[in-house]
Amino acid sequence: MVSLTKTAGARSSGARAGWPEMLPTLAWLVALLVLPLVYILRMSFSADPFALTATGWSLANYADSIPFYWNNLLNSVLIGLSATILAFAIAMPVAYGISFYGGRWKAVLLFAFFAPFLTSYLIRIVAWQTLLGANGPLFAPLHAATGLEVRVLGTPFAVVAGLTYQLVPFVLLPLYTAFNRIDRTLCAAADDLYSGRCGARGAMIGGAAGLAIGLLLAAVFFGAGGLAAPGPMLFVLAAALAGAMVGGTMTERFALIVFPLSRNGFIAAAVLSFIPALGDYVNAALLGDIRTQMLGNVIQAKFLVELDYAGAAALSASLLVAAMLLLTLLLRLIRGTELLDVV
Amino acid sequence: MSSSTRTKREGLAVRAMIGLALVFMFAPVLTMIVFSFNDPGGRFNYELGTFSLDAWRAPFAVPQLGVAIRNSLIVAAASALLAALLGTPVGFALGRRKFIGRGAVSGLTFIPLATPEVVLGAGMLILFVATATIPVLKTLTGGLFYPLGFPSVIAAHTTLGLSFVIINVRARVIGAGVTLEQAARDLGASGFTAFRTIWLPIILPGILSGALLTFAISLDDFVLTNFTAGGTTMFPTWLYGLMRRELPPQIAVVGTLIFLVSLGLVALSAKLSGRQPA
Repeated sequence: MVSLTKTAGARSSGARAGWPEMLPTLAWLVALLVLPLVYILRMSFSADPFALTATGWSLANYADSIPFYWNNLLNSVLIGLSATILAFAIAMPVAYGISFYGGRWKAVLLFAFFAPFLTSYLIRIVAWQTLLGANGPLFAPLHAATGLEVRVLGTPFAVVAGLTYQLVPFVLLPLYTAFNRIDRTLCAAADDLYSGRCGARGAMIGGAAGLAIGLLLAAVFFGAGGLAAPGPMLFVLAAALAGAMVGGTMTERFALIVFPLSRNGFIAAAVLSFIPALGDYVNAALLGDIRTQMLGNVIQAKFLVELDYAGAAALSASLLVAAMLLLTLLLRLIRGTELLDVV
Repeated sequence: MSSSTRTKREGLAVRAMIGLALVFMFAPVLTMIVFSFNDPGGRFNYELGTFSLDAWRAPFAVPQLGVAIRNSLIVAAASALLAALLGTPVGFALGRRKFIGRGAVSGLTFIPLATPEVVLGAGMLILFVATATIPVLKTLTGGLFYPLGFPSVIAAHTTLGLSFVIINVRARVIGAGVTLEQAARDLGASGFTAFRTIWLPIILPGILSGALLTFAISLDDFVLTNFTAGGTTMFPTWLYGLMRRELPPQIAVVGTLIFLVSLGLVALSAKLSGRQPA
């Protein structure tokens, strides 16, 4: 009898939420995570643009800043999207390869992709500046050998390259986790059932995807107006061809089993890469030029240099709302699992 | 063509991709290491000059560099400690129990991962400014966070690291120890004894790896530091300012040193948690 009541007691204490222990942390998170975001929203409606505290109500901050910085907003979305897609193109085969063919090197290989991030963020970008510079270790010998003048630093291409580099681990980890959870007997069954390559259908889908991605990247790299030149058109054609080749030779095992079963991993990877990409400004500041400045650059300058808090808050709020909309949309697609399980 | 040759070809293709991707990932690291042995001959270490060990002989021969690194280390250590203390109870509760409001708490944890960092940093900045200009907030905080300095930047980095401690602790708790705890309680252990003897050994690796991650993130972070450090000399923001005037090879040396020390810390953390890294 005694032991029975004790068990019951233990159970009820196990079911206790533990709010008192969590209270300081929750107060901290509300004060330093929720309150700042709420205050940004409040500040964005402030009537006096150069006051340091929100006063009065007005929509002028939005009406003034969004049309004026429309190009920066567009840069954030297009450059962010390009970098996210390229990070997927790099991380997807890597995650699949490590998970399915890594053998006993799995942990070491995975770690190798995170090791470069043990240096400082800014020093990594400095290294990219060095690598891509016209007189740097890549292009100086090229110039000496062929006389070719290559200008990469200060172009959208350099910004996308730097940002892609930074995003690869954010895509790799969720994909790898998702691939690792897939039941290997399903793949063995597919092999037994003579699963092959995706063939003509895969080539068509891959070609269409390659064309779309090629158009986006060409628009970012060469500017939407410069698409009609032979160089950009060749680039788009090459992207479409590469897409068709990858789609056609992709195994059915990946396309029909691994891919659908790891949907949640793909969604988590998209969230964890595209949202930081949207807000990034250091890559654009150090690798780009005036035409590649993103919304983050404007926000940073307005907050820290111009002290136009209300205008900057309106831009930040727009970025926040865009990120939240995207997040809700993507998380709608995840069912039956909790947010944190996917990460 | 049999299915096994097909898998072999696929294996070959993905191995080639992994190799290419590794070249991409390590190109900047190699560049950094090579340029730490460079004498550029000018103020900017962007072009290869002659081989030199000068920067390695005097790694801190740049004014303010030592101060910047010391400050960043202090902030990283304080943030890691605070994040571990604050994050553990929440990670523990999230992993162990289903309770009303659990979804909201775990959603709160997800915010830093789902918000562009520039927006979070900006929000913290104007909130810290408000603690100096709004009388109620000023009395409440005692003016601790403005002017900006160590307290504000530590608060910002702790907030970012908290999520990682919570996620790590939560992952250790899920599916572990509940029956052991019940057994301990049945045998008369108090709630605290049961926590100390059953749960602590289970979650300690999670706390440590969360704290180490917070340390690394804090040391690395540019954006939040940019918004919340004010005039305090922190390594990333100091370097950003320096780069306009000069880029001495010492920066590459310090980058290489950070890389090597972090590698050692990861190895240590892998050993502590008794599993492979990452």
